[in-house]
Parts: sequence; structure tokens; C-alpha cells
Amino acid sequence: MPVVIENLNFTYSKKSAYENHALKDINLRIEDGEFFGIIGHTGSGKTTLIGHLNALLRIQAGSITVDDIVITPKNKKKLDFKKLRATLGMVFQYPEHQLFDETVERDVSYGPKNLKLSKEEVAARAKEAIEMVGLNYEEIKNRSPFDLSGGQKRRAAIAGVLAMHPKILVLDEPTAGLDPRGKKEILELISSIRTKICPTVIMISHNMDEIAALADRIAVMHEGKLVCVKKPCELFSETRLLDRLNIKMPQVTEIALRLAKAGISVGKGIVREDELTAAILSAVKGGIS
Amino acid sequence: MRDISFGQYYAAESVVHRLDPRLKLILTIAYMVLVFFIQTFFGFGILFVFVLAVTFSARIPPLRLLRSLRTILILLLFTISITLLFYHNSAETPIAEWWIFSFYRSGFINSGLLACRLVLLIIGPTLLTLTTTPVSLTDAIESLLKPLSWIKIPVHAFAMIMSIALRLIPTLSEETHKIIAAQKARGANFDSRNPFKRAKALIPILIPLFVSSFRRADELAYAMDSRCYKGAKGRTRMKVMRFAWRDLFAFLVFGALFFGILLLRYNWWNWDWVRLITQW
Ligand SMILES: Nc1ncnc2c1ncn2[C@@H]1O[C@H](COP(=O)(O)OP(=O)(O)OP(=O)(O)O)[C@@H](O)[C@H]1O
Ligand SMILES: [Mg+2]
Repeated sequence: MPVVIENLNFTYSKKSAYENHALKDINLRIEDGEFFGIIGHTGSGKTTLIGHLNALLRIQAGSITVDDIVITPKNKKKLDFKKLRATLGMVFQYPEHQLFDETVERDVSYGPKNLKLSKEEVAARAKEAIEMVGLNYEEIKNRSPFDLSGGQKRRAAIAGVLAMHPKILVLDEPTAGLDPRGKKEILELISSIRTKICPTVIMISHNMDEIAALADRIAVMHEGKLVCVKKPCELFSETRLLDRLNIKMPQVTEIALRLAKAGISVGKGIVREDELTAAILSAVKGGIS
Repeated sequence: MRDISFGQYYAAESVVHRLDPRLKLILTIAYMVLVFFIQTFFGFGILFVFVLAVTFSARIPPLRLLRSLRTILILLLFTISITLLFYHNSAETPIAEWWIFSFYRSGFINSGLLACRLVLLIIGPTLLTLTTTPVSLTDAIESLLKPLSWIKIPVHAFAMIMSIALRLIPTLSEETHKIIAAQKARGANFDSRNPFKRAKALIPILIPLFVSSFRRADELAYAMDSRCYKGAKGRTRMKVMRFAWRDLFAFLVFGALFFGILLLRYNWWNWDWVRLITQW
């Protein structure tokens, strides 16, 4: 079942001096098996939007359907929170800040334990999740999560979410604050999670290269409004829109544009490295022949 | 701006806000002493007028001031009813009776005076914190306690600790919200009826909070080190506190009030009109 958001509105600190209309009339449909990207300037409401998906923020107006769970202002208190949060796994920005337990294994087990699963099931899921994120289970299970490296911590934290077996995975800037190699590894991890256990992924990112390479569709947020939802190749060929919203292009697209300006025609709508390589190769071959 | 009220400072442009925080602090202490010298409704009346005048010139909505009284409401009601029920002179006859209680004239008068005293006692410091940021208050305390550093008490260090703590309150509160959200997303349940389970549910919040506080402290220490912070020695201030004419004015107004109240109480020169007022 897809994620459907209808007429969602949200205001922080209603009726006070700090009132802030953070979401304005959001309508959105995210299909099953889709990799859905969300971009937008800082403060545009991305985190607020995804906070609604598993009812961490109390819905004020509109409705959200996740799988077969409907969230509306009327039923927000009677919701089956456990089911909702097991269905939709949420990895926040800097997820390593949520680690707390003595060992990695126990920390990863926290989610499944909260779901009141049997002991064996919890242990099995913890093992599976730790291996899934590419950590060595036997070596790491009894170590303190606080002794791990930054990238390992983030993996452990992601494992804690995966252990709940979500059908939809939501990630808020999963690569923030990592070095290029750590970034690449996390992105590869997300791709493999997608093919193995959780095909639907929603990801917020400030890195256009990352989002262009991975996402099937990208939603652009601006000052609390949803500006558009487009395929990467369409979105990043609309230079004027990007300029207006102050969004940078992926480097690959930038290079393609400059090549085109320099007279080497590589075609339009190039957003991924492999596309660019192929286009350059064929252009060069064309030039030679 | 996030909605994290910092202390209870009420931001506004006013003379009262701009007064030297050291003066405000001293005057507030003097004011609280003064409250204890007053024993007549007339005296309290004068002080109420003064407080109202300050509130208006500070452009603080009076409701805001009343809200600060909410915290002592129960204490207030309790003391009033106790005094009302049990206070009386031995020679007095009750003016009213109800069920097993009798009410006396002096009981009414005394509970009224007590209520005035409590309310005025709370309002004074409230006005101070409404018009002065915690940071400038800390600076004021540091500046006033400076003589203590002559006997080797590290006043500056204490003040620095306090400013840092104040600065970190909103940051930590934001951090706490984030951690709570993250653990809720992992199915944490904070609404259990069982107090043990509730306490246990706090562990996944408190530990990450401690960890991040230590991390913050480390980072801050590095940042201070790399900017060559080495304590009070040779340190200058960004905001220098200077005595201005408005401070003198405020001092004189308050001095007149202080003198007037004491005159009403002690009537050093045995003036008749003073006796007349206080009897009334
Ligand atoms: N807890 C809060 N209380 C009040 N206002 C908030 C709160 N959280 C966010 N806001 C405000 O809501 C708006 C949207 O914030 P949000 O965190 O959703 O932005 P974002 O798109 O995720 O930004 P970033 O890219 O920096 O993470 C901002 O103006 C922000 O200041
Ligand atoms: Mg965000």
C-alpha cells in the first residue's frame, strides 16, 4: 500500500508570538517500491513533513495514509502507534545520537523488544540487522556502541531501525557529517536494503548528486509548500526553476551543461555518473568517426 | 525563532530594560527588604502603585505578571485560610461564625496583609527577570561579587559556568526532543502506568543526553582553548556596564520610595499627618 498525504497543514507554536506555518497544503502520493527523494532549502519543512508519517508530530489538519493505517486529526489519539512505527522505520539526522545501551546487540534489540516479540525472534532480528548493515556480528555484538567509529555508529543505529522490519524506510539526511567514503558506504547500504528487505525508501538530502543518482522521483519543498514532484532528469533540466528556488545542480549535470556549451553535445537530462560517462564516450566516438 | 522561552525574559524596548543590571539587582534586594518593613495597607498600596508604574514603563503586559503568581497560588490560599481561621487576639470576640469556625477582625486584617506581602515579594524578582536577560544578570552578579575575588574566590569562573549552563538550556531541550522522537520511532512507550516501567523508559533518553552533553562540553572546551581563553586575567567585556543618568534617576526614585515607607513606619519627627495616614 502506498503512502498518501492529503491537504496536510501544520503550524508550530500555534497562537503564540513564534507561530510558524511550517507545512502548507501538502498533497503527495508515494508508490510502493519507489525511491522517493525530498529536497529543499534549510527550514523548508522537510523534517516536519516526515515527522508526520509515523505520528511523531500530532497531525493538525489533513490526512495521511501509511500502508493501511489512516492518520487524521480525529483519530490521532486512538492510533495503533506500535503498528505504525513498525511499518514505517525512521532514521533521523545523526541517528548515532540515539544509541544508549551497553552493547551494540542490546541497542539494536531495543526496537524489536518494544514490539513485544519473543526472545528468540528479537535475537534473530538483531543478528540479521547487524549483518545487513555490513557490520561483523560476532566481533561487534558485545562492544559498546560508544566505542565505534562514526560510520560504524551510524550503521549500528540504522540496524536498530531495520530490526523492526519496516515496510517503508524514511531517512533524514543519512550522509550528513560523514567523510566521502563513509557517505558512499551508507548510500550503498541503502541501495542494498532496498533490494533485500524494504523496497520503499523516502530520503531527505541536501546532496543533489546523491539524490539524483538514487531517487525515482524528487519532491521539492520551499517555505512549507510542495513546489513540484518530478523525475530527476526532468527536475534538473529546469534551470530556471532551480535558480528561483536556489537549488544547486548535481555536478554531473553541471559538467554536461558545460560540455554542451563548449560544443560537445552530450544530450539533455543527464543526472548520473554512468549516464554522463556513456554520453561522453558516444560523443567522443561520434567525433572520431 | 524556535519557541524555547529562555528563563522568562520579556523582550521589549524600555527604560527599565536598559537600566544597569547591577542596579536592578541591588534595587530588587532592597525592595524585598522594604516589603518586610511595611505593616499597613496604606504602605502596601504605595508599593503596588510603584510596581504598576514599573510594569507599565517596562511595557510588560500585566497579565504576564499575574501569570508568575500562579506558582504561589496554592501557598497563598493556604496561608490566607490558616490566618483567617486561627489568628485572633485573646480579648477579641468573633465577628462571624460558621460551622465550627469563628472569624475575627484581626484575622481578616492579618491575612490581607500577609497576602499583600507574599504577592509583592514574588512580583519584585519577577519584574527583574522579565526585564533582564539571564546573561546580563550573571554579568551583574559577577561584577557585584568581584570583591570576593580579592580573597581568592574564583568569581569569574563561577560566572562563566553559570553563563554556559544558561546558554545550553535551550540546546539541551532541543536535543531532548530529538532523542525522544528517535526512541519513539523505535517503539518506545512513555505512557505506561507502572512507575518502574516509566522510570526504565527514561534510560534510552537520559544516556544519549548525557553522552551528547559530554561531547558538547569537550567541543566547547576545545573551542575556548583555541581562542586562548585563560580565565579572568586580562579579559575585557563585549558589553561594558556603565552607569547612566537613567540609573541615577531610578536610584533616586527608589530612594524616595524607600525613605517614604520607612518614614511611615517610624515617623522619626512625630509628624501628625503621618500618624493620621497610618491610623487610617
Ligand atoms: N520544534 C519546533 N518548534 C518550532 N518551530 C520549529 C520546530 N522544528 C522546526 N521548526 C520550524 O519549522 C520550519 C521547518 O523546519 P524543518 O525542520 O521541517 O526544516 P527542514 O526542511 O528539515 O530543514 P533542514 O534542512 O535544516 O533540516 C522551520 O522554519 C523551523 O524553524
Ligand atoms: Mg531537517
